[in-house]
Amino acid sequence: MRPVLQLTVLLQQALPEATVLALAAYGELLLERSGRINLGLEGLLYFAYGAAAAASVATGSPLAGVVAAIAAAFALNIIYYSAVELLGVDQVVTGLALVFLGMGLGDIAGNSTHGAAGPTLPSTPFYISTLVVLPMLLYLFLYRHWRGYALRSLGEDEEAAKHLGISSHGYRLAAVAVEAVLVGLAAAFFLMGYSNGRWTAGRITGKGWLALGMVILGYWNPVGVAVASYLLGLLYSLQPLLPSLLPSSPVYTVLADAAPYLAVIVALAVMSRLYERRGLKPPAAVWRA
Amino acid sequence: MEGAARALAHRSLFVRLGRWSSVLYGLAGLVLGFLVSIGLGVFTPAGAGGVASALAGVFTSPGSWPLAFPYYAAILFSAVGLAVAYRSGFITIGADGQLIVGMVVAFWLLYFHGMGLAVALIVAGLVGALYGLAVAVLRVWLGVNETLSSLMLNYVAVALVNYLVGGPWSSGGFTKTPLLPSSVSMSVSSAALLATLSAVGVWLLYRYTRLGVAVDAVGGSRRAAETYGASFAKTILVVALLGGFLGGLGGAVYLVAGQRQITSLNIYQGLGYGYMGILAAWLAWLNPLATIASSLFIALLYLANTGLQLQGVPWSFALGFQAVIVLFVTAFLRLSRREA
Amino acid sequence: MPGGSGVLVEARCIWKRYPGGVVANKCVSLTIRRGEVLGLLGENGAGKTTFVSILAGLVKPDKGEIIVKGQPVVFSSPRDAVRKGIVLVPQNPRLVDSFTVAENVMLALRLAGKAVSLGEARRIVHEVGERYGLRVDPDARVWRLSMGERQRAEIAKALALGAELLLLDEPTTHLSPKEAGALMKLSRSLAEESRSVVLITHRLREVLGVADRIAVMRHGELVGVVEASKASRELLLEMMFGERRTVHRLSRRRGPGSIPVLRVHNLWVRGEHKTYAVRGVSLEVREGEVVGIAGVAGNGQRELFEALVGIRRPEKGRIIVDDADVTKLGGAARGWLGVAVIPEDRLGWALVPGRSLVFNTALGLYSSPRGPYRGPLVDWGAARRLTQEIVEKMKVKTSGLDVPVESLSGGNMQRFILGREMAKKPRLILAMNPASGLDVAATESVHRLLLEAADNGAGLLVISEDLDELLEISDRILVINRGRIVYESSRPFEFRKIADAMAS
Repeated sequence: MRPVLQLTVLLQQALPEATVLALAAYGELLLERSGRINLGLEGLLYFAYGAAAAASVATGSPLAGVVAAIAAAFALNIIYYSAVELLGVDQVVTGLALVFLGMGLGDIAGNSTHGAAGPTLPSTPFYISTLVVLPMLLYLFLYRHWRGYALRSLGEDEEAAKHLGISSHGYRLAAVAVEAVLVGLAAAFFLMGYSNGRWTAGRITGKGWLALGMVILGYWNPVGVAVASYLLGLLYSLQPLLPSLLPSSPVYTVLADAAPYLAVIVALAVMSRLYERRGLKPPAAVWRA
Repeated sequence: MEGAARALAHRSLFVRLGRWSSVLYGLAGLVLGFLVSIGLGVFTPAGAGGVASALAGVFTSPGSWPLAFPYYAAILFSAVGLAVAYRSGFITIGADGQLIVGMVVAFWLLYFHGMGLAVALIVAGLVGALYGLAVAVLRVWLGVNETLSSLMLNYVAVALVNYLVGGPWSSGGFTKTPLLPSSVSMSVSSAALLATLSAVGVWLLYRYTRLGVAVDAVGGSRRAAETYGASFAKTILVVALLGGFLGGLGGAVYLVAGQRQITSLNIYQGLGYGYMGILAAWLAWLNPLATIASSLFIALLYLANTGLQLQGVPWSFALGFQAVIVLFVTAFLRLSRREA
Repeated sequence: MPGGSGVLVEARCIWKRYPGGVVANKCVSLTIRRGEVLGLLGENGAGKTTFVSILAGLVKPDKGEIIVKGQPVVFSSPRDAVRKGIVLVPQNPRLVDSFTVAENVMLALRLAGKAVSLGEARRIVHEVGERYGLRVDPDARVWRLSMGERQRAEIAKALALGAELLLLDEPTTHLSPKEAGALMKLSRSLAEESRSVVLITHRLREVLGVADRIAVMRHGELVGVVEASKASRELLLEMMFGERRTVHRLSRRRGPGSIPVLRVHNLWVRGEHKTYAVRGVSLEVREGEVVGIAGVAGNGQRELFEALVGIRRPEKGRIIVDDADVTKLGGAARGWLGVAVIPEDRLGWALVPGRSLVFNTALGLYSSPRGPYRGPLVDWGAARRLTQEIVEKMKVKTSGLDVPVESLSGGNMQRFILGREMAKKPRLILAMNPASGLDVAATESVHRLLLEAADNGAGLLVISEDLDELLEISDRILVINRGRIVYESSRPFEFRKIADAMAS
């Protein structure tokens, strides 16, 4: 009985991590399908996290937290859109700068809570919608709805899309907006569904970057992203168990701490090889591998 | 004849104006970014006024600048390697991890084995080079995205430090190692000088050797580069080795001239200077020589911010500040290109 | 034969100036009648593509009006033009490679405001295919299709969109002679249904057989429109070039030598999608010999070129340059051995965009023993001098040596590239479509230079879609079809046989 119980506990503990990663990754997935990449995802998530805390603690309303999170992510993404789409600034430098800007703004916002705990939100609706409902909806949109085709054509062959009359600005603006909403939800969930409403500096660090990795590992497919996010969530829930499973030696201790990160590198290496072998390619303009 | 001469004079004037106009646009972006960042200070406990006065304090008293030299060294060592890497299209963010690894190796050699300073610096650089090489190998042979893999290695480096500081190298508590013995030392001016000379060295490499041509070719059009003999794989590997070496060296220099011990880190901040190096590289428009100026600028911004931290302004505010400036400068420079 | 009644589209005094000063269209006024096949003739650079792009809503004119069926219209995007029944079939098919034909058609229809499902789109492609003899599999992914099939898909798409005016831009570029003939027949049947077809081309031959009227453009202006019955070759040539043009016969001083510079044995190369694009190709190029490889695009030429150049590893076979086996080596080895490369795409393959001419000289000669290098060091002074020499010798029109290379016009870019490659004093020249997009004068100078190099002892391998070009300059012609060499011949060439070999 014990091992089965442990297994179900493990499976369940993977959910929160998976939810945060998947939500953030879906938005980036749409943007990358449209032919752009937003390296600032980490900054967006961080700022949204702080904004959610500031608003929800100040007002006591979880809804305010969600709205603030979305607004924060949106503000940064508007900078991204204006710079990259309208001005033609390089998307790499814009994204990287937004990471740091997001960190700075996030800390300012989060500090205003002075460590107080704000309202919380039930997690289960988030789990179901993120890992079951959203991937289905996104899948249907991308592969069955004509606008999904239009979005994908932008990422596959921008010239052809232009000839068809598809407005790259329009679709990318929509992608950027949807990404902001999803990132806001991810941050709000992380704060109010996972951290009991208490903001801690640096707690959400790395999730944005991992989400970028999830898009690659999920092969730019919503279902793939959900699966990849869940698997990483499993790894996180396993992490505390690792020290007891491995022989106690300095090397292994460090490895245990670094496990999720090393796992991501290994996964990326394996998947990239696999994609290469099967002749699969990411949306053309995106990752120049 | 005269008309032709006049026409020629006009044209060269336009060309000169053109180049100047980029500088003007860049400066405008700098000033605007500065102002907006100060404005953001409104949301901090120090207020916009506090931020402004801290900045004024640092920038107007060159006597205080040596305090920033250790930061300058770490940032510059990172930035100049990154500038070359980004030019080739290799978007690595692993400078921070290389700094950390360099610090660890240098501490190990200097504290536990009493090695000479020069040896420690070089070995730190070599280990950093290996750390950088890993990312390149993953990219070149396995197609792994270098941004993510270099970040992951940063996190691994942090885990390593925390383990060492909390365990075998602990000085009692769990947050720092003992200090380096006073026999091992480097003045902040020497550190700054070493960093500056290294940056000039990289610039010379870029400007006068085949590496520069290869880097720009591979970054501009991989197809063209490979067709005419500038190998993508070789270029990326060299660029990664170079950046890694500089990063490791920078970490060692920072340890000896600045911190003198290793403290525990979190993945959120890392060491930090490697990330500031990213911003410094872009602020320098990826020109290796210009990273000297941009790194000093960013180091001074950071110095001002360390004072502000006592007033409750978060550490990351410095990063945000720098980021706003980079955004404005790059946006304005892009605008100036559009006018051209 | 005469065109149907009524004017379908009228263009009035269209002006278009591109940034950089080039005036592509100078007050071009043209009427297109219902049910006619109109030939739009002019050499490369005359402004034809700009004009039809304006008609199709891809480009906005600076001045002028477009009137469709009596109503003035303003197009802000290609969708507006499609709604009015004007569809452009571009020279290079612009379908999304990874989608199927039906998916492309569905997307196009949806964007034009017609709500169709994927199943309906499939049916439409079938129907159009049946009716007009445009056989193409609606469920095939576009990347699998040959150029001819892709063009059929484009035309099917245009007809599915209800095009009343089809603008075919240089449609025979990627077609075999047989496919070109089928296309002409199709144009006539469309005209008979009261649709209008504009055939944009720089080849006289094509237009004389099928058009009702022929409009000629030169240097951005419409020179005139003549009834096909009254048009003669001489008249059209005069309208195209403004004077009686004599065809200069390019002569050779020396013939081929006996020593091979390039030997290729049983080469097998994989393409983008893991299938073999080159299947067991063997060939030889001797000193001073010009070997042309003819074929319709998409039969393995690109992969063959990439393997020869050194950026794509062959699976099997050998490539030997002057006794050195370079099969597994890259561009550096070739450069060292004196191989010059003139790729198909100027910007992005032959040149690095955004960088100066001097830089591109340095890059081009990166591996050449004659490059401006001393060991690992770059001698920028020498690079500048070399660039200056190239610019002067090739008469490249540029405002300086430090300007970004994309500020040059296509013709000047190609002159620069050629000059740079010739500066290597090459043993072997690998060229692909060296004169694509160039006007007659530039084309002639490119050919003259290539033959000069051959006279100086270099071996030339020219892969080209332009059969006329190869017939003009080659000593031997090979035909590549589906990755294999299916035909080989020395002078005198038999056009019929070559055309048959190219057919699929």
